[in-house]
Amino acid sequence: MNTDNRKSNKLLSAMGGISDDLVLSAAQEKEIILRTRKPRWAAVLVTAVLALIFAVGAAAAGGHIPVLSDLFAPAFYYGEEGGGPDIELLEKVGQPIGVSVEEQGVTVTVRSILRDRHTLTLVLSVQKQGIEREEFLFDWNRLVINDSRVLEGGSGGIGYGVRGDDTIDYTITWREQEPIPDGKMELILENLTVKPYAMFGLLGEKHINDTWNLEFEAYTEDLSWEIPAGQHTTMDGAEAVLDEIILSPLSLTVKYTAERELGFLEGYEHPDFTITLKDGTRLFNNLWYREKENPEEYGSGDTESISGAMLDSEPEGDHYRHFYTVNFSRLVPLEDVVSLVIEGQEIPLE
Amino acid sequence: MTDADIISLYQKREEDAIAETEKAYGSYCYAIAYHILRNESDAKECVNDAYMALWQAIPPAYPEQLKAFLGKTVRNIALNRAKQSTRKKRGGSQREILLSELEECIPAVTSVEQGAEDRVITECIERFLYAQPEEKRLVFLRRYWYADSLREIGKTCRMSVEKVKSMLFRMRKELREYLAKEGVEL
Repeated sequence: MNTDNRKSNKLLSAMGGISDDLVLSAAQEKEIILRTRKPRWAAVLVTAVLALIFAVGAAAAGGHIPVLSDLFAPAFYYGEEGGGPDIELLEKVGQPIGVSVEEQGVTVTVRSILRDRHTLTLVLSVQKQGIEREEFLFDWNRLVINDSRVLEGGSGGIGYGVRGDDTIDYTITWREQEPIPDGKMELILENLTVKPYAMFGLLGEKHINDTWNLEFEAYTEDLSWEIPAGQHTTMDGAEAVLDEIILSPLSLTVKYTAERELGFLEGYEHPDFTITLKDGTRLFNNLWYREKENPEEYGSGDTESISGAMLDSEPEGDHYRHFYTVNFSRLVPLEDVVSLVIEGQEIPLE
Repeated sequence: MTDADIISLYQKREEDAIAETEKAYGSYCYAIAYHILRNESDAKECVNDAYMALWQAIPPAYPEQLKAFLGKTVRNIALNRAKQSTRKKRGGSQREILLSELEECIPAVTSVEQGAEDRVITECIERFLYAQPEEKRLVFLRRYWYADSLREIGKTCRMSVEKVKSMLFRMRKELREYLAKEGVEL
């Protein structure tokens, strides 16, 4: 679109001619220029490592000093070939935290945070005598940002990393339609249940009813890339339009409008996507039915490249607006992305 | 030094005129340019261009409010530079972001007549702003005149970014309705 012809240009220009009194009424005594705060990694990293040492206890006494990758590793899975996230990219989208609280013999440590526009992941460690390899979950989680924005009910899961020594990695991911800010944060975890699925709760299930509160600040960069959208496609036989496509090193978000509601209860899976990187690596979802539909292309050696997803939909007139966001199980450098296909549509990346 | 003293230096073509202007309003001008361009060297160049424009304008011009006159000059220069910039930035420049938001204020076209002159639109926006409570007027001006980011506005006005966003969203809708009611077409 030729922006010079945009009518909003006229409005912006007309704003420039308003009276001096109006202009000066909004002038600050001292004009503020806020620059993006880079994570204070040097100081925070030391704090985070020390917190890990104290939380891990016996392991620390044995001389194991956690390294940077330990702080984020539980949020990613690089498969059998190993590997890990690019540290320079991690420095932008993540931040070590290193705050701990102990209640009733359970120590929770927030080790790190990963954030983009629509997703936020906290990597935690939970230490409790005898908890190693036991299942557990917190009944409820809440993250309050800047005393105003509240994220609730994030997806919790045992991390991929195995630590041992009475400590388990635990991640919580929130996926939100509204952009997630950075700043001052308060995490509230309520009521720990250990072995929640043991014998329908009759044997072995333990409850620790308490609240774990942790406060910290986090400032990370939002590297989200808004890819030009508007493509028409078909999803499960329904006409659909891709309204917005947002790709970040951490996640893919697709907002789309369809002539009917598309969701799990309607017998429809999440929209297919495939991302190809310049080294040939493919990231994709919906493996189980892709294997069935196309066994030559998706073999038993493939693994899904996602760690979790959310699909939401709401009616709008005679259509349905959908919001789908999916976290990758690895960090994706955007400059390495050579192809993005959504529901069979090759999406131009310029 | 008062505004009258500074203007007098321009009228006498004394070299100290620009230095005194810089001392009095340098950071104000720089902030306006930086908020639009988000680039230090570009912002500094715009401010220098504004001083040159002032030097050429006075005399015969005699700004009643030197700060506002300078601010408007810098703003125009910065917006023009942003328009001409060929740098591609993911997520769009600040100017593009403001233009996208202001599109919501455009009323539906009801006739094929030529759009209203800038002065008519400006006066309409002024009436709209004067009718707003002080806090809302401040937020709107900081966003669409001073090109502050949502976070900067939140810090200035001591409110959350979410509150700033929803306030601006409602005001854009209200401005759209106001422009339509006044019969202003763009």
